[in-house]
Amino acid sequence: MTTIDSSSDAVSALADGALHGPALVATLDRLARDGQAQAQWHAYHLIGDVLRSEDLARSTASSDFMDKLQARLAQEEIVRPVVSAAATVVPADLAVRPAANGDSFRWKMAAGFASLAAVAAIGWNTLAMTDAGADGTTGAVQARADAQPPVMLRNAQLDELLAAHNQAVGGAALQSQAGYVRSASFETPQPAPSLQPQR
Amino acid sequence: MPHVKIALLWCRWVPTLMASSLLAAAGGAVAASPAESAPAVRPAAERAGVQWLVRAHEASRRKTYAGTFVVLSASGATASSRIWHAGDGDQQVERMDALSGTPRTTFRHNAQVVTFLPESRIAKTEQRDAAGLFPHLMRVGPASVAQFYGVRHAGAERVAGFDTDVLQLQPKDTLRYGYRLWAEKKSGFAVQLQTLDGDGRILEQAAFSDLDLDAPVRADRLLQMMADTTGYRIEKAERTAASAAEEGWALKTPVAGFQPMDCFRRVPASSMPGSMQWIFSDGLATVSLFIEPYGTRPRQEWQNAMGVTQMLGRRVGADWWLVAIGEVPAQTLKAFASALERRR
Repeated sequence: MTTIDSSSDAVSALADGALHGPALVATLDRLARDGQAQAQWHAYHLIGDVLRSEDLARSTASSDFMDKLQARLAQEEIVRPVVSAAATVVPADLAVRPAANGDSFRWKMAAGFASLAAVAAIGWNTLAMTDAGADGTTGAVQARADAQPPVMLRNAQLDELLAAHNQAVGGAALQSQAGYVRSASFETPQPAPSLQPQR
Repeated sequence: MPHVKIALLWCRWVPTLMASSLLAAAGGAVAASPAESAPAVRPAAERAGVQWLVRAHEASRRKTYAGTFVVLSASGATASSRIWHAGDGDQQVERMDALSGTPRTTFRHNAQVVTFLPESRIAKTEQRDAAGLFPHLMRVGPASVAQFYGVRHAGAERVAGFDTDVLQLQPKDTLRYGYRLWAEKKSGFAVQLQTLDGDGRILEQAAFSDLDLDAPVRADRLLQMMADTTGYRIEKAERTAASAAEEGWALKTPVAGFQPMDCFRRVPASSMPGSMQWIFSDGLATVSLFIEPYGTRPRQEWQNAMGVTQMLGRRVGADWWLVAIGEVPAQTLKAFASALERRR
């Protein structure tokens, strides 16, 4: 394990766009002069490109490997947050522990989060403005604040089946579009904005 | 209810517009309002039960619109897309751009679907079985749906700038979820749909956060874009129609409310072995049973949920593996798994 030093930190921060002012100027100077810093810079971007690329980042884990992994994980004890009966996760260990292809999936989730949060906020705000209906309930999805939703481990086979299921669910508005949208693009479950059903 | 039955038969073979009118007329006869001879515009109070759903379903197929569509799950997960839909009689053309997750644009022209994945430069083509708000509603039949869901008008609300009727769809047993539907007053177009569990908890909400009904969506333009696959590698999802009985499968006892819809032999685009997909629906919810040979390696039974979609994997028969997927309570999937029987 290489020691972490402040200069490689700076290159990393520069790659993330997190440097400003004098630190930015100093790091750019060093990059121009230092071959090692340049190699580091190149490596960060290569890693990023690989993670962003579906083709390159796809795990080559065979289903053989996945089955063994599942069996191993099932044997291990994991402390799980309480999940309500409506969404029993067995084996939950899969959801909590990252698998070989977990990183690319989570990278995509991290990348998509910002845009999602904005859209979700808009969606929530629009829905929150509806008048209370006859039942006194409006469009508030009550997130279970207690349960930390497990990250769903989806291997390529399950994705294939989900896609086939959505073919069956249909094509046009709402319910079937929800099917489209559900299967392929659920991102990291974030705590939903607090929106209590109006009673 | 002979009038309703006749109307249902017509629905299969007569253009949609006429079908809706016939159904409405039949409903008028049943509701004992003999003076009603122009069924096109019926007062909300007279429109009964499942007719609401048929109206909403037809509107989803025939209207032209554009909007932003957001799916919110009780788990906190969200997904959204931008949608353009051109409805012209029985023809439908639509485009959907994913606003979250992997960039993806999906075009549909009736049953033909092409999904463009710009990052991998792959265009996936497939057949889509049914379309509309409740794709299997007309095949299962409103009468059957009425047996398993109570539909009542539950007030009015304003959603996404539209005045809507709120409909409560109450399941009559624990094998299915309930729904709340917000239907635009003039057209019946569904602007929002919630899926509810047995305790009335909202599992998922699918809604337009903005919607332009009767937007100037050009079907010809969409079709042009759909056909333009230059620079993309085409992957075709192969499948052939099959018969579950011929494949050797049957249900010992039917799962109440669910009728078999279709059965396919799947050949996935990837190198994975194909399986049989047997599809059931109760008119509103759909369940897929995927069955493949168990194979030589031991497998572990599992159960999971992704938003409103429940899934499980388990052994059936001596040598087979089932993956059941559906927007239904987990116990319903278990009922299917227990009822599934190998007959050869």
